[in-house]
Amino acid sequence: MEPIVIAAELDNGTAHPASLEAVCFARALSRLAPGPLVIIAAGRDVRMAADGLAAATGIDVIAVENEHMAEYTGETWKKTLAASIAPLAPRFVVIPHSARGYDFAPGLAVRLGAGCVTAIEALSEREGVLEFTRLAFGGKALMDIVPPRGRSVLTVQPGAFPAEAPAPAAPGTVTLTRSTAAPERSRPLGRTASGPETASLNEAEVIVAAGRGIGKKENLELIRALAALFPRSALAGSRAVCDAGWLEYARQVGVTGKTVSPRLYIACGISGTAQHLAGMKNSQTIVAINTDAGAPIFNVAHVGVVEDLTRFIPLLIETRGKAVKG
Amino acid sequence: MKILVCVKQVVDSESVIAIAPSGSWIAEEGLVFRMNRFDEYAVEESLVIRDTFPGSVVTALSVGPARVESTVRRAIEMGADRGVRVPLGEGGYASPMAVASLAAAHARDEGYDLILCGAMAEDDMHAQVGPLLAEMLGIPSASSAIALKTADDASAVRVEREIEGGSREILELSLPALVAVQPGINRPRYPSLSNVLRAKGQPVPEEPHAADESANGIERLARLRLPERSSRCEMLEGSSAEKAEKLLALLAAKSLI
Ligand SMILES: Cc1cc2nc3c(=O)[nH]c(=O)nc-3n(C[C@H](O)[C@H](O)[C@H](O)COP(=O)(O)OP(=O)(O)OC[C@H]3O[C@@H](n4cnc5c(N)ncnc54)[C@H](O)[C@@H]3O)c2cc1C
Ligand SMILES: Nc1ncnc2c1ncn2[C@@H]1O[C@H](COP(=O)(O)O)[C@@H](O)[C@H]1O
Repeated sequence: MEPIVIAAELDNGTAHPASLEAVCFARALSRLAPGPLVIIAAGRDVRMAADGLAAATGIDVIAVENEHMAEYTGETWKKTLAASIAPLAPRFVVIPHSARGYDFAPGLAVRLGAGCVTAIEALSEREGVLEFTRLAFGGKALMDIVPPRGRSVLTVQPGAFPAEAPAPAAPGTVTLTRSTAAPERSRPLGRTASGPETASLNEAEVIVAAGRGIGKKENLELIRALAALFPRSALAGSRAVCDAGWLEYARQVGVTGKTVSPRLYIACGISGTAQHLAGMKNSQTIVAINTDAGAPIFNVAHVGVVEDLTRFIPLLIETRGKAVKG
Repeated sequence: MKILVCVKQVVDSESVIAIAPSGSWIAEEGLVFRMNRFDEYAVEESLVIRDTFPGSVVTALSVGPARVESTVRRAIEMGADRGVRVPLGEGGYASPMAVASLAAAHARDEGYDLILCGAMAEDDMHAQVGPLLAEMLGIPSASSAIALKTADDASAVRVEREIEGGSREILELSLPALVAVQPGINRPRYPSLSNVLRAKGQPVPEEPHAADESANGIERLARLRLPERSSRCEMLEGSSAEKAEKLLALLAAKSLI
């Protein structure tokens, strides 16, 4: 039987949580397309991470030690992984859909002569045919994709397959191998630290967030006024609002911004793409105000208001004012 | 420098989306098509680089049916020097593998120094065509680029790519290379009148190529469907005023206000 290979993502010698989610997805996949599971853990100083993965999952791990993998380049990742994966002749290669994963996965597919399906959120079988579900049109629609008959590289949307941890009976075996693949046409130059911490975002009990739907910068005042109704509140925004220069990047919520989980998150004019949801979906109560009843933000919201925010927010503030006075 | 920028035509994301009766794509009648927003940033970046390297030429490429010509033309209106369309299909789902192999067929003999793409298409959201194209051409690539600087001697490009949690990974790629850009890398310009006039008279040649589907498997879209509304969301009903009152009551009940 052709194996299912999981390419783990390692971070400073430990497995990134997204790797365990990829394992969880691979387990579900192996129930529909039977095949033995194998984890590839490639990086520098991988031994500990490999032992950890084998113990946590009970799956056999191939550890690939490569001194050139201390810092990320797509080139080295593709070379190293293609060389260690090709001999296993897998049906599927499973990779977290992380900033690294989506950078190298398509190129790895080309190298392996494989197809490629990215950002998978669910899997199923219909009339004996395996299908992967992924978002399209900013989350307004879902695609059910049938993978090609041959080999496929798959990336798994973080958060879609929460890693449940059934204690394995026995740890998997770890095989240590070496790779000397080095980057020739790319040179890693390090990392910048994340932007200045916005303590206010982390500490806020209530976050009021603006999206492109506010229409213009001036309307941020509405969002500010709404936030002022709540003590310990803070202002945040979607990527689109930060890109437009309406709000500083330090206040961006999402995969490439802050992750927040306040008691209350009010999304105003935010469509709710996966990248934004990743940063706020664990908020205790989510309220969404949006003119489009089909906006995907309503899939994670607890309370939905289909209204034009430029009219609704003033009305809300006025109603509150009357209630407090009266 | 010879610069290629890949632009995709998508339906405007404000459109209300309905699934076509065939179930295989959205119903496109009456919808407005425009350039994928991510690609506007790629076009802008190509123009900025052209301006720092006099004599550079920017080519805009789109793969798709005849209607995508208007998106190539939009790139020319923004300032691209020339445009080309590689025909593919009649609209609907296009496999990124097929699109990339057609773009590669165009690019292979052109000797581009730098290829720019958007990080992702707003409609299919694959984030694949850039990295696929680079690998098919055998050149290095980086995605999610939020800052880009070309070396003075045009031998390399320095890329800052966005990673989780707001940090950036920095790397240098030798040219030729491909970079897929993120919104925010620049402010895309509006077309100038002179470029709009120039674009009017400029042909966008059709350049047929055969997709190489032999090497890699092509996935198939079984169906496109609308997500089910999650049952946990309570949609407030009534007049605007009633909704405002209900919302305040709900928040008060949870001691949030
Ligand atoms: C690699 C990558 C990383 C990314 N990282 C992030 C990230 O960290 N954070 C993030 O937010 N995004 C991120 N994005 C971008 C993300 O994909 C979306 O483009 C972005 O979140 C959209 O922002 P938005 O919801 O404000 O705008 P849109 O998607 O344009 O939505 C605007 C919404 O406003 C509604 N609206 C319009 N007018 C009104 C009105 N008058 N009243 C009420 N509602 C109205 C519309 O119906 C629509 O739903 C990332 C993308 C990529 C590819
Ligand atoms: N049909 C196409 N024609 C030209 N460029 C495309 C096409 N499809 C995708 N691209 C490019 O590839 C990027 C990523 O698209 P995708 O892989 O579909 O998410 C886009 O931002 C474009 O730059």
